[in-house]
Amino acid sequence: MEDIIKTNNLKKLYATEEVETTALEDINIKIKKGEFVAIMGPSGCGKSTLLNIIGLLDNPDSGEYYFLEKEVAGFSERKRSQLRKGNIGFVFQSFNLIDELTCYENVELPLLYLKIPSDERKKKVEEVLTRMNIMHRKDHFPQQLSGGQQQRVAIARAIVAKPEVILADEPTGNLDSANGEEVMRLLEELNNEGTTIVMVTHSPHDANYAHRIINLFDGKVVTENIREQFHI
Amino acid sequence: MYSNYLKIALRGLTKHKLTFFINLFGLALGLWATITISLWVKSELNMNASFPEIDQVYRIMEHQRYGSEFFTTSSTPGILAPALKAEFPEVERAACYSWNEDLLFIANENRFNLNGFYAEPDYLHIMQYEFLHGDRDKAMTEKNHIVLTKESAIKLFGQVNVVGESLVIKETGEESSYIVVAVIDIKSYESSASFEFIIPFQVMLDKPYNEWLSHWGNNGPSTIVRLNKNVDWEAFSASIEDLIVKKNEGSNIKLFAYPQRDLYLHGKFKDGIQQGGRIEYVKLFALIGLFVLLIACINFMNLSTAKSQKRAKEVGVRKVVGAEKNELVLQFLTESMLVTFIAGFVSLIFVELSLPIFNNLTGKTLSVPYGDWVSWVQFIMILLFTGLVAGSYPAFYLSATKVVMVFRNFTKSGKGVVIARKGLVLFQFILATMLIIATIVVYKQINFAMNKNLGYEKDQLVSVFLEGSMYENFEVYKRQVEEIPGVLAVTRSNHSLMGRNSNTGGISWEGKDPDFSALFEIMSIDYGFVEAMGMKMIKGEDFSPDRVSDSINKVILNRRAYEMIAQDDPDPVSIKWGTDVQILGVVEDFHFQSLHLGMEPVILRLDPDNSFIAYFKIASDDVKSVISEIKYLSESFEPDFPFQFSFMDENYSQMYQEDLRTKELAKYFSILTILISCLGLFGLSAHVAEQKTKEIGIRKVLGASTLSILNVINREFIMIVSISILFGSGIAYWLMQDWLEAYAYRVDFEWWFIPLAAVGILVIAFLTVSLQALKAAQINPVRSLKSE
Repeated sequence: MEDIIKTNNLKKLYATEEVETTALEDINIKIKKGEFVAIMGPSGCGKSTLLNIIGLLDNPDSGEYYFLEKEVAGFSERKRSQLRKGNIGFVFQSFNLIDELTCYENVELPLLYLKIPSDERKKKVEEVLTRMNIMHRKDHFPQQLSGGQQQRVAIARAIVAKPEVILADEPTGNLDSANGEEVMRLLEELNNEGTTIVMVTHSPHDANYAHRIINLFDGKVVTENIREQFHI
Repeated sequence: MYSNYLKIALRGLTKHKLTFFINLFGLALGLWATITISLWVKSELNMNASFPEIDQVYRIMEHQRYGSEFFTTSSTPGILAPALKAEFPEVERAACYSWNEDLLFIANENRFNLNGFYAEPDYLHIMQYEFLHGDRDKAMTEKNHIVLTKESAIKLFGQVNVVGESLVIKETGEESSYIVVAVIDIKSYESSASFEFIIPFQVMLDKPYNEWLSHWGNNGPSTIVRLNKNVDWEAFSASIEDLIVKKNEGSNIKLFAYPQRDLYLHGKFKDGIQQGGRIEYVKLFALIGLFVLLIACINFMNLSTAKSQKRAKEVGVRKVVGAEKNELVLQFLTESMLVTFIAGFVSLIFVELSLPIFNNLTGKTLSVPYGDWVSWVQFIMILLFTGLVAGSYPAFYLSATKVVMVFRNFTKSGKGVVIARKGLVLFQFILATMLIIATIVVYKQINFAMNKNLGYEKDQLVSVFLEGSMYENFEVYKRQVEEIPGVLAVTRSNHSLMGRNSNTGGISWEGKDPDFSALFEIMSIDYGFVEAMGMKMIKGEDFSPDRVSDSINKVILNRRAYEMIAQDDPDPVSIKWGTDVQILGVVEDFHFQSLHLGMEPVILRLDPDNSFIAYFKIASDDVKSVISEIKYLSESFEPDFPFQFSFMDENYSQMYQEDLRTKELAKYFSILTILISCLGLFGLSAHVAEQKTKEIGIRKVLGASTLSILNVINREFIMIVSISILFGSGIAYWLMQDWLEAYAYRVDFEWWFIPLAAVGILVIAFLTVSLQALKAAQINPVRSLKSE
């Protein structure tokens, strides 16, 4: 199966006026299409930085990054943005819905930027909201929903454009266990349908949903575990 | 997509009501000032410029040389126009016309005093007012023709089409009949002229006492010409230069032509060279309008960037789901445009509400040209410009937010942004300081002018134009007026004391340098003038009715004239004015012109017959009833003419109309600038208070008092405002020195103007910021720390 994500010796530094911190060093990972990968590690180990680079939100300082078999490490923000559109969906711990837009409008947003005609947009948004079982709250604003409902809207937004990859950054971090469970089941379901999922998490329980776990420590990959083996 | 932008903009506005209100109100005030000033500037620039063929129309003017100085005037000999037409083939049309006069009109049973002038027939071909009725070619070809304006036709006859109607004009000692030959629309083109009738110039020339008009050595009326198409007017101007010298040997006058359309704005000359004029005011106010708008835009930018942290998450999310930078720029510009357009329409309401006051202030009749599409396009352009200026910085700043920043704790603005924001506040308060100091200086100068000892007592002094038997039997009239209790003195003169009237350069004296010449103002007066006006004799005697010889060849000089002569002839006893004229006395200098101008030499001569303005000095107890008694007496004495009077102190204020307008406008703009700047400061301090919530919380937990917390927020702004005051007062000092230069008599720029303005601004700024700081200081630290 093809590698949807592949990195060679990725490096990322953060520099302030006084100190330089290495956030990532020599990261070599491969993620195949249809995989469900969890990235784990203690706070500050570089999980989110890695996710940002994988998600084309940021560039590495050195190394190579192949997304859909294309070298993208040196892409400009504009080019990254174009590649991101429709190919990558994001789910965040804090949902990151726009407060001024209704659920419907939040979900519709990626389709607007993809310039999808309005009829088609409506069909797609309603379809995904129904699937997320949140259709009845479509005209509500995010603040009017529970955390679990907000995350379902966020997932709806992430998948509405049918992306190749979903990147989830601690998707259950702000949810109670029941809601967290539901979100994980949704992600698993999407994965079963063929969507590649890369998820950063602290929770071993959530990580159990993944096929493979990448452990980071101080910006380096320390272990990679295949779930089946891990489980037994 | 665009509807999404609008939707989020509208929802944002309703959510952040305070920011929205400050932005809207600030921009609306800025736009209001800009629109009002634009209307005024447009009207000023169009003044006299839209008449047909106006580019071929020129005023003939004079540079009169006195020693090394030039005095430039538009007064010309009354026979200049026919000579120009006869001798210069470039001249297509030429007309002399008089100054405005009030005349008593009688039509049917109606009697009105109307204001108008005498003009040669070509005048209406040169200044081509629209003819509502009548024939331009035939108008004013006969001596009994009269042209009325639409307004005066309605006033006199109750209708507009009154061609063929007859009316009577009554003047002292005579009555003349006229036939209305045309009715014109004076408002057909924007014009600085104001009149209600035009009478043929020949009528004026034929009056026996106007014989002087037909001499080349005398100046009075104006002369206007229309040149043939494609004539090089500068060459023409050069060719007429010596015309007066040719006609009147020894004359010190050089003629020149000046474009009529430019005269209104560029009509000021110094030493024979065009310099400044009304255009200076136009430029000044256009600049102020632009500044006020800029200040309002700055507020918008400041508040938007200050709120950017709140918007950063949205920007990040949009970028994550696929928004590109230009789409975000467009989104933020849409928001600023939306606010600007709402503010634009709110400002139109402000304009409508304030135009009557503004018109009153400026003496104009401005209105919003709703029906004119060009004005709408200009209005939209102003709005687009404002929206772009106000929105560009936040748009580019916000859209450049790095998307990864969203997922970090994004709480601090970049250094550059903070500096820019402070710079913008600095700029605002520099302007505010400048305007406040300018207002103080203008106030001081105007007060100085109003209260200056003028060398005569203008208070409780009433001037009355003598008509009919009031003039013919003045001695009887005077005695009766003097009997009214409260009337302290009665005298008369031909001079209004409100500017130059009649003057001569032909005065000579013993030992005078033949190359030196000075323009002496000549005043005809009656007995008792010096005393009644409260002037002071410093040498010799006043005219006395006891000496018959006083009326012949004797004059009183003012100090300036006396000292000028005494330079060549110490202790002079006579001057040469045609013949030898004895100096009877010397009076202390008095101002008969605005304080813009220096003291000029004056000759007072006893000439009661030429003195048709009466002056009544009244006791201050009950001015109103004394006036009404004088009015009653005057109207029974001369029932044909309505009694017309004015207070000299009011006439004097009239001389400073422009300055008084400047004073009022400077006051209003200062208030406006401060208001807008404080709105911005208010919003910004709200933001800083919000940003410092955590700091304030920690300080409170550690035991800080409310006062010390107020300090945390205040010190930042007070520092910026203080620096602004420093810069602003420096610039204001420099500008206002220049403004004061225009006055021959002026106040000094006092050192305390600056601290006065500084204290005012600091107090206002302190109160504005404290309002927010106090709110922040009172938040329970448990809440503020928890929210962090």
